Amino acid sequence: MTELRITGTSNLLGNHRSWNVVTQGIQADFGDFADWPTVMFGNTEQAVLWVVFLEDLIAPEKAADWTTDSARDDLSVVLHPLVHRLSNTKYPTLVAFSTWRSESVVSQSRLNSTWTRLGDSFTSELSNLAEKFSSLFILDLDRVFAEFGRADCFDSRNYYGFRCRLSSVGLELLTDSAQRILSRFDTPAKKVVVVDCDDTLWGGTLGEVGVSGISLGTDGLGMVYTDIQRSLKRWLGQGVLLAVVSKNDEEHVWEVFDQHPDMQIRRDDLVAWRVNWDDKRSNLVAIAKELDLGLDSFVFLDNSSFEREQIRQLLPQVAIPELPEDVTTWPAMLDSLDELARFSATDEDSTKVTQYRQRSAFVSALTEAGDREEFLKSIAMRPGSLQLSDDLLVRAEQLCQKTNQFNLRTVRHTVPTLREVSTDASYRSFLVSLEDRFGDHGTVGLVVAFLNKEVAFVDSFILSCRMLGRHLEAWVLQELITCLRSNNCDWLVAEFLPTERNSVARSFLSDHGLVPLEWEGLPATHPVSRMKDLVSSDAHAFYADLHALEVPNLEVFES
Amino acid sequence: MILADLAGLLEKQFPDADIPESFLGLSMGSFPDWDSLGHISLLLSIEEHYGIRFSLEEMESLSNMQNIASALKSHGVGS
Repeated sequence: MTELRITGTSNLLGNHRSWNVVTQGIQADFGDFADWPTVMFGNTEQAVLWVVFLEDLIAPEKAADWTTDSARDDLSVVLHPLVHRLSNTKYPTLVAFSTWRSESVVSQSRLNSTWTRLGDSFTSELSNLAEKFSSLFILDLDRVFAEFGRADCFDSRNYYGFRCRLSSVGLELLTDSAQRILSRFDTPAKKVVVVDCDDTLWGGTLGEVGVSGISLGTDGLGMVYTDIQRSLKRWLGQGVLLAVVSKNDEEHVWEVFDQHPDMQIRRDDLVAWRVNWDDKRSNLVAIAKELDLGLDSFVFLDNSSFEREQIRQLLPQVAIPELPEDVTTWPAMLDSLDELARFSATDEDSTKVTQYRQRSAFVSALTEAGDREEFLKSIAMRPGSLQLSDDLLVRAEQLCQKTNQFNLRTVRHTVPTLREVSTDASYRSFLVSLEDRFGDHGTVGLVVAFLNKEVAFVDSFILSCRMLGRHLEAWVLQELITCLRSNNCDWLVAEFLPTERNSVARSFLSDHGLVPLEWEGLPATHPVSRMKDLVSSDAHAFYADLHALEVPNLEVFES
Repeated sequence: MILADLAGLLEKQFPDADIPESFLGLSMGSFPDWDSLGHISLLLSIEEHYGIRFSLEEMESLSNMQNIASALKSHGVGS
């Protein structure tokens, strides 16, 4: 994997240092904030990490009146962009998701919790997709967070302050677990576990205590070692090979393997062994030769920190998990060993994961995925315009001050100037709101136009970057045109003033039917020349006849 | 001590920027990387470094290094 696009349903703080583990050594790009649908419909030749908080996709109050059936319908709508991508590219898509919300244990105790049920169906929908599409990888963040302590992973202050649902700790767990999955794309799983015997497969030193003296059984410490063996046995079931390297007399070790009633691993489970008094390095090298495998396919399990350190220095290619002093922690540790984990039990070579299992011509109901426009229609966008009244001045100021990307002129209006605009008869202005299937997005845009008889000049045209990729700018332009026409305007003059950050708006005016304004070509008496003084010399200026201007892309909005 | 730490945190967050000796005059926007997102990551790294937590209200007022330094004092850092 060389190229990764990272996108989320809320702010992921792309420049937070926790992302370094993911982005190091690859070309990683965060794009615009919350532009995930664009990503899903966009470049099919890069890997994608999509971080989803279900609450961003579906408003909790909407979950309340859903029967399970209609919830499934709505879920398929929010998953549509993902399915579209999966059907169109073999490049991996990793979906890291959280469905968690605070809820009362009381409501959860009698099926009253519609949210929990919604979360469950979202999760199972993702699992179904993963079954169908081999390029889909899923990461259940709630499980990752639960292990650490969920309360420390989310941060409401970060959410209300800058739309980032996670704390630094949560971000670290997200990036770390995502990296563990992503790195498996390039680094195949280890193939062989080489395990020590005394105090690793069983408790005690065999040479001293004899077969009947070792700890292995169904109680206490003996049960710990039984479980360690069971864990290794499960890895065997997934295709991992097991070898033994032990400093012992060989016949004593076979005595345990053949005769001890609680041995889970049997002699014929082993692919190779070296039971002797040679150093472990030579034994490992010999086994590698025997199996014709590189040492980088090996995991070495040994309770002795001395042996581990020695192998680490002499054979750095070998993976050597640190085994904690407390042996009771080993079974769970072995069960979750990343080095051995593969994406599926039958994957023979996971390096090929991107080209892997190219299921031909799979079409489900979900994959009848139309294009982007169809998706936009299906989310039922209902934009609205609001008068710039006194109680909205603060929000309007925020939009002026904070919006850097979709901002045609980046005029930093403040409350006093906006108040003037809202009362001065030579200005027309409105705020833009948007509601859709994902919920109510609030006030997301602002337009201010200055009127001089039949000509209007666009003073401000601002859209929150959360709203890009939805053609909302087209709707806003149409709204402006309607407003200006009802004020007897015939002409519109607008300009794009480039800054370091607003390139996303660069082609907006020309894409929407406005014509470059060249003063030389216009008669001096043309009405638009009334705005000549307002147009900046370093701007890209455009104009349009308000009666002829046809705005594209309006069909995605509900009428 | 605080000042040296802060300079270090600034450098870590904005490795491409030249941090001047007297950086207390710097504020959000002083160099291109220090945009609103970069600013948030800087504040979070400061919180982590000192083991403190700013309220949302505080965060909104911490747009320059001078204010950040005095907020650290009011959180008992360095005393």
